[in-house]
Amino acid sequence: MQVEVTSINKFDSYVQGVGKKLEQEKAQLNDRLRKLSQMTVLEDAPTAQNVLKAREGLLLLDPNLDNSIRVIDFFLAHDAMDAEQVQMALDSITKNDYFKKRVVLESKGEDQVHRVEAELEKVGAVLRREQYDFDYFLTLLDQSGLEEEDQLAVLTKEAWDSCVKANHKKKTSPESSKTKTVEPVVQAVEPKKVEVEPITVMESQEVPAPVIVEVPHEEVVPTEEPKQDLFAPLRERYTALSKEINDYLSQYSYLYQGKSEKEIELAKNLAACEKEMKMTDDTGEIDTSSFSYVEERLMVQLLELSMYKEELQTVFANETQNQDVYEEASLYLDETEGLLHEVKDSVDEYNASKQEEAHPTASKIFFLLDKNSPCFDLTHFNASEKKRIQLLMDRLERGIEDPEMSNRHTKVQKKLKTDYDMYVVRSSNMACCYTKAGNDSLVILTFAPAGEIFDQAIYISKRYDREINSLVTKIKEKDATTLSQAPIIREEMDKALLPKGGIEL
Amino acid sequence: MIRDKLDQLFLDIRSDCLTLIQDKKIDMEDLAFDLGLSLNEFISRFQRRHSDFSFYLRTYRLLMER
Repeated sequence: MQVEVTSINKFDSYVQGVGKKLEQEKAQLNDRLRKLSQMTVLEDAPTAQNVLKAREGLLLLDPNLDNSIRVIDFFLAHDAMDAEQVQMALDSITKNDYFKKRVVLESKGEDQVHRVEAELEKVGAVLRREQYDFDYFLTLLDQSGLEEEDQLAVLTKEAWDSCVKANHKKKTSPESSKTKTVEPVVQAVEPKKVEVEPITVMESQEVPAPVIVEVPHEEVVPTEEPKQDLFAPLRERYTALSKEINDYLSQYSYLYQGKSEKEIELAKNLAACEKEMKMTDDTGEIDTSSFSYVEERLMVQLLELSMYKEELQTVFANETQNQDVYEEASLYLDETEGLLHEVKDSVDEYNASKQEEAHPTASKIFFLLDKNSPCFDLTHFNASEKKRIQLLMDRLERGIEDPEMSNRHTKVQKKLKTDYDMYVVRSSNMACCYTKAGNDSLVILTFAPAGEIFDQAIYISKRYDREINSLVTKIKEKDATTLSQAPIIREEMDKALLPKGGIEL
Repeated sequence: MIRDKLDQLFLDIRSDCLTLIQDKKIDMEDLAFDLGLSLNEFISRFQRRHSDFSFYLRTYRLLMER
């Protein structure tokens, strides 16, 4: 008897799970229908505002519209609906006739909802063991994955109950056997509503700009030594630092001297914010060392460095043997030393990036492999896209000598720090993501439509981080297997890209 | 408060960039590409202040150069 109860519990638990899945499916289908119904607003009046109202429906019909919708959203959020880009995006959306597609999807969706509701009724009836569809009961039992003995126990119990009910039926009136209203098996999950607050542009407030005073390079030497020279060790540090600061400021001053007034103003304000943050307990959410664009990072750091230089000059020029001034000088020196380390790192990165840009040689091509195949599937691309892929590979082999490489070429910005940088080169609507492996080699990571390449690049760097590092190392170390494999894969790629010999869609 | 100052700096540079994008009829997908970002990421950094202010500096410079 215990075995029977356990078996029935197992079966009912499975059926409840089926019911829950159906409830979820129903909620999803209803959500799709709700999104599609938004489209009527746009069909009535094809305006930019209505595009945003019908956003979810449009994306269901064509996910590629995302960029156009985002452009409209961007300008609307900034109260600039008259921008030409808005009209262009609107045209690109409304030129397609989505009406027919919507009607078909809606009709299909409604049919699906009816099907799910009918199945939910059946599930409810099975759980209540009331006038249920016995074939459906058997199907559920078969799909439940229960052991044979459990299935047999469930069937035995059903047979017994059926006999008992039959006897009971004879004794009761027909009224008592009326079907009860079917209750939902599982409460449908309400989709969460996320409210996005509109962005409003605040009125401009003037931010005080720090004043950078040009300081002569000569060091300040006190004319008279006090009896107990508290400042002597600090002055030594200051002297050593001064030379280094002046070297950096004179060598890289072009980074901020050649910039527009607005850029300099912003950079100075950022530098002032970081300096203020270090000097106070205010946590201001700014860390220039984590700035990803190295030239801009270096510019802000150098401006901050010049501010510290000014402070140090003032402290050591008016040197008084007093504990407060000593602590102030000590703090400035500590912070300046820390900043100098960051500046050194930025300078190294900046110089390396300049060398990379100037690197003129062509490259040998390798591919990132997953189970001996490239991490992209050529069958996903049509003939025109395959031509572009071939063109991109030729371009990569020619390297920077190809003028298009500098025009349609960019470095991928990513949050995750990796040992390698990723680059994207683009030809029309197709793009290639790759990383460098030494001076004369590169590893192709993937190909994708230009609109998807950055998301793909970030996915690949997360998914294949270890593999990329390993491959780059092997190429740099001229690993024989890796080197011999490259031309074979390249040849296979060329064959697959040929219009007739390749894989056709 | 430094946070308030940064908020104001963001609003100022965003406003300047937006004016340039409109006036120069900039293709935003192209601009995002040159910055090494997807259009989605580019727009989100203009909707909400991003901690990496070098992005705004670079965007402004690219817009000035176009």
